[in-house]
Amino acid sequence: MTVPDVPAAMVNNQFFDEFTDKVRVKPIPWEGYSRAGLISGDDLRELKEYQQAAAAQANREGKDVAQYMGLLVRLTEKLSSIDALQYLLVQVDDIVEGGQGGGCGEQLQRVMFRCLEKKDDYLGLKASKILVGAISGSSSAAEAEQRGFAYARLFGYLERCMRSELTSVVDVAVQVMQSALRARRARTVLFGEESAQCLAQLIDVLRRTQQSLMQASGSAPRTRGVVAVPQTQYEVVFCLWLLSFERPIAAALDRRLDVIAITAEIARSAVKEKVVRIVVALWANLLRLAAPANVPAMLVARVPACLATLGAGRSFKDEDLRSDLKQLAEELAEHTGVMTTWDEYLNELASGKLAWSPAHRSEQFWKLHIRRMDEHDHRVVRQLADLLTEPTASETALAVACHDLSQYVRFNPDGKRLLARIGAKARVMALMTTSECPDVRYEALLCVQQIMLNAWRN
Amino acid sequence: MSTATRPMNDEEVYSEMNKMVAFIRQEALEKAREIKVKADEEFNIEKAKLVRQESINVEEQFQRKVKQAEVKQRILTSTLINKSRLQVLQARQEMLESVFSDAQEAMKSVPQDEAKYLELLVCLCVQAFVQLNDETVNVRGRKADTALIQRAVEQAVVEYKEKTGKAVKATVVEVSPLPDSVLGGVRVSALNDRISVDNTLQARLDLSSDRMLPQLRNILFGQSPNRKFFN
Repeated sequence: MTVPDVPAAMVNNQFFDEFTDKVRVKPIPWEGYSRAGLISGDDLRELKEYQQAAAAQANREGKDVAQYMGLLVRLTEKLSSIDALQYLLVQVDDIVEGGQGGGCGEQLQRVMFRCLEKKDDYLGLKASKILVGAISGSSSAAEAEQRGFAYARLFGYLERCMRSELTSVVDVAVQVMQSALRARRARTVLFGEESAQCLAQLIDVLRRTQQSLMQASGSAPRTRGVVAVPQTQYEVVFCLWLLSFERPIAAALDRRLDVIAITAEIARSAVKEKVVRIVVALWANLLRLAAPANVPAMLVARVPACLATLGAGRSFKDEDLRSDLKQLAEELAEHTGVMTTWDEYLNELASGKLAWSPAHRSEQFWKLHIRRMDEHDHRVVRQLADLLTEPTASETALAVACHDLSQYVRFNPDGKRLLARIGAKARVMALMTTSECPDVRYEALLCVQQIMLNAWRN
Repeated sequence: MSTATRPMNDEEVYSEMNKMVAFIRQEALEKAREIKVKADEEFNIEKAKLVRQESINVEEQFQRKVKQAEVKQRILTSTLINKSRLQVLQARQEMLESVFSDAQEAMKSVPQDEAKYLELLVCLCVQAFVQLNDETVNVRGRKADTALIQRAVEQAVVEYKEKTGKAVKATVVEVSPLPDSVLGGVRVSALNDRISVDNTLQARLDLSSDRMLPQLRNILFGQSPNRKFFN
């Protein structure tokens, strides 16, 4: 038995496959179309020939296949009945999967993109699968095609699919993305401005899987759009892993989307080995390609502890996973080295996720490190002030930031002028009145109190 | 509902087996895909590294070749410049020599004008006497000029007496005349021919050729363009 090669576009969904089988045997009124003049007599004859040849033998010659492909594409362009289109696409997909599609020509692209516009889910998903299958691949001709391919359009369609209520549609869409992201240019496009929504939607799918886990297993109905949770998690993290191979993306990914926190949760609660495997691979990439950007976030999300539990608790069958775990743990240990509380604080600040820890509350901490906050042109103070203005900061982070600023002013009276200068004072006052969270208002009030205290001295 | 499940019949066994096979296959394909992705990335990195390395090499080689070509070019230009300078010098030299030979030709016609030639001879003798500053001198000349030289010497002695107040006894020596190549003029010697003043036309021509080179250069070729000091 020969070992099959990994197909370029791999979609494995029960619903999808069953539908495909049904379409394969559905009778299509070709003669009717021919009579109506939608397809020419020659087309009809060729089609019949191929169908008979297919029934007779399994293999086809290369030239024949190319011609058949051309015929199918032509017919797809001419016809608009959903049934006929589905049948044609199934045939095209078979050829593309067999590896004889011959790249993604302009005509094929045009026709498939038109199918994306039609209202039928199956048609659109099948068309996107064909597109990805045709465009992916590592030959040099494929790379040139990739440069001209309208990935943004494809991602726009897939984004719509991922919003759908139907779990299988979401699943197939994510699987198509998995295959699409094999191409390097696709990754840059997805991370760019045009497809930012698509990426956000992808992460949303991941979040939903976690939420569905939170709900009691078995009793609650499946959360919208989530198939078997582990499989979906695997697929989405696989997409993220593919994205992380590009250095600029690896540096910015966590900042934008908080992936480390989510993946840490997933890794902690995952049952299936392959989910852990892919999460660890993602972290390994992030660390390898963009350590300074990601180490703080990893430390805040307590990744080293998670790795330790994983390494000690379960014995994994996969060698790559075991070696990745060990390597990752060692590298993180190197990076952390000897961490003082101050360094931890800096890490928290860098990752933007401040939380209440004993260090924040203790007066001694502030008294000790008050000078350090002024280093490098008051870098820490400025970071805190920036955090106050960042729109994505969580409420706890805002509250903690206000509290930290108040401690700063308390132990360093000159700080009042600095805060006024960089506009933090105004911001804190605004937060005091307009913020929705009571904690934030409280901390902001305290901070203003500290600023006002003894204000006449300066 | 029966508590014990009945044993599966063949169809069910087959279907279960197929399901398991499909599942294992799927897992294997996924792992294979991961491996393939990693391999692709490594390949890309390696390829980029090799390409960068080679392009640096090619760049270096190119720079080296450019430098070599430059050096060759410079050598060539300087050789050509040298050659042309030599050619210029040679041409100038030839011109100078033609001037001298023309002058020499012209010189030959000087003795033909007897009156003037006589005057000249007198002056030459006086100059020679003054130079030698001796009481006894011998005067030699060309064989053809003997008669003229006699007369000139007599006049010269008188003039010498007028100009300096000294007397000189000048003897014209006829036994060893000067060759014709001197073109004319006299050679005056004293102290038993140990000291002599060569006032022959040829000698004077040679002298002036040498002394007048700067003026000749100026007349023939103009001033040198690089010259800065004129005093």
